[in-house]
Amino acid sequence: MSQTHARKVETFAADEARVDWHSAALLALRDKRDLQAKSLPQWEQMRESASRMKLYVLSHLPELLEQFTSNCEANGMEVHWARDAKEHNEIVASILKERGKKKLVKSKSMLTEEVHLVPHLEKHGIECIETDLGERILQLREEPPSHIVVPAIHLKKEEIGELFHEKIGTQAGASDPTYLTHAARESMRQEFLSADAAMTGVNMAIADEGAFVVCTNEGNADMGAHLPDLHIAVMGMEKLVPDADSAALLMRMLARNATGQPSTSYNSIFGAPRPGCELHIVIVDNGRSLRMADRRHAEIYKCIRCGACINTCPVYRRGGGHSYDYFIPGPIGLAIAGDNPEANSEAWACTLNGSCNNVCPVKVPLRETIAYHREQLAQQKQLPYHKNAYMPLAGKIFGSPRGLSMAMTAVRVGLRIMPQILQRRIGGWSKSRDFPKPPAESFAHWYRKNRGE
Amino acid sequence: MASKEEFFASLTPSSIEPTPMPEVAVVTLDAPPREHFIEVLEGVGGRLGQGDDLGDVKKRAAELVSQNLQVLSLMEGVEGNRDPSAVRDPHELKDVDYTIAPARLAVAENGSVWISGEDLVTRNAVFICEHLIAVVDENRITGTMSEAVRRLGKLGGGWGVFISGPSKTADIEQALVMGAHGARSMTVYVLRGV
Ligand code: SF4
Repeated sequence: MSQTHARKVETFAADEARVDWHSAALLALRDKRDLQAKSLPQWEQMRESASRMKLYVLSHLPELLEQFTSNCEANGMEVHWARDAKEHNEIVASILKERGKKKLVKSKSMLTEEVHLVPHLEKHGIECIETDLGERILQLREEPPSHIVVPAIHLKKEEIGELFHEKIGTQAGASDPTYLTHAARESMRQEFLSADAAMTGVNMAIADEGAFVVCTNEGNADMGAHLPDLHIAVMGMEKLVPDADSAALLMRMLARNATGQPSTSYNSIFGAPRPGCELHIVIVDNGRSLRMADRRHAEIYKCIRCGACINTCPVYRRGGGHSYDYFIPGPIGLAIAGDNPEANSEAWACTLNGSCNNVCPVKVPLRETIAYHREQLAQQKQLPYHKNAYMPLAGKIFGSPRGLSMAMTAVRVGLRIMPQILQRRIGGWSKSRDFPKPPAESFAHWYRKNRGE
Repeated sequence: MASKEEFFASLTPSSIEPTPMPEVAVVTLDAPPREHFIEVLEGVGGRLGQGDDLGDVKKRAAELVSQNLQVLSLMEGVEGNRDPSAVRDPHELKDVDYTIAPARLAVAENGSVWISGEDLVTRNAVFICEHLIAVVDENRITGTMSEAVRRLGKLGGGWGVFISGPSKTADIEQALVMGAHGARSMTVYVLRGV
């Protein structure tokens, strides 16, 4: 079993100033998102339509896949089917190798992280360049992303300045974001121009058109895809939407909910290859259909990867993205993979406060799914933090009014007399937070005194 | 590697009860699209071109050419100093300073314009340039993305892009920087309709 979430958070939380800075950066994204959501009077109806539209998709996947792919083929694209990660990687490698390709520029795709594509291609001697600035920074640092939308959110500009000085020759000590970004632009331009193949993800696959949408702010997906004569787009099959109206609905919500922008800078809609060039689509299951066979788990595939649930999550904000075992952090990561006994502390890296549910544009029942994982793990007796030992006792205490009342008195007294420093020892992501001041008396006591018999 | 049949055969049936497709509302906007478009365009880092006549765009193109910049105009009636018909490969455009391109639509709610591949010599013409100038007729401004997509009609069989302001990133400490990989600046001329 790997390290618990709480143990990993200790490394991140050791630097309290950094934790505060990280948390504030994410909350700022949350605030910008709220402003955008409030600016649209129909926001709640849009969420409801988007949620139902995705339920329609997930309950009609085979038909929609059939429709999407036959339209793509009619539009001149080539479609490939991958049941799992291994098949996906073999397909991509063989497309590249058959054409003698040596250098692939890729834009951000959660799917390629999921299936570990890059190491596979490197084994075949194919150079892979991440072109999203955040992803590129992490590729140069040989480190995984810590967030699905803002992958380098955990890094300070000085750290990036040092990295760029070493790797792309920026001035020593320079840390101005504009200077560093433009230096990266120049260096990446050479990579784009010398690549012989491009890869993008897919944000929405429009079934009745045989076209797909790719959304970026940097323009890296387009800059990559429109230079070489080969473009490979990879997608999990849940990316389908029935029609262009549905894609427009999601385009209206995605950037607003992700970063508080009215749109990403680029919404590129691919409905055919460039004349004389090839466009391949790889459609991936990799456990999705199996997970969707469990109704209490199925709705996670409505997710459009906006990252808002991550930004609002107090555990994520104070614990950082590298504290999770699964490559997708935060509520959506826990909801997808929190039942994996190998990472069995993850389902507990959550306060069940439900803030994530409230910001989700497609109403993924995040809190309920995470609670369901705890239930499953408890049934398998896979509880972390010695919960197997103390939970039955806790059950007895919390199950009786008298036991609960005595326990709460002990907590109130304990919190009053225990110094803050000791309280912080309790650990994990709560380390850099102060416990609330305990009330002088219990609610039950207050009620009896003021409203009682 | 699986065939399509093998892939479909391996799918476990979804547990989600057959849900009907909901009505996806095509939301329209009441605000006057021209003013709204300009306000949002500036909010996303774009600029409004000076003037509302094709002659103003021509003048701007001539000015840029006179400054010895590389100008690729894909707009009928506007002259640059790069010959679009000579472009064989997108890599040739790596030194273009300005691309001037017609936009078929503009969207007020997010300040974007729709540029269709059919109007470009090569798709990358609007990304690889240092600066992008788009030209749109004010009668082609729609309120929302859903209206815009309805007006576009068929998407399959071609390519196009909604561009909202310049290329940007905030990947270094959340500081917004214009000019990540695509155009560093984006100017839109909104022409008075006839
Ligand atoms: S679960 Fe919802 S809020 Fe979280 S990333 Fe997915 S769509 Fe966004």
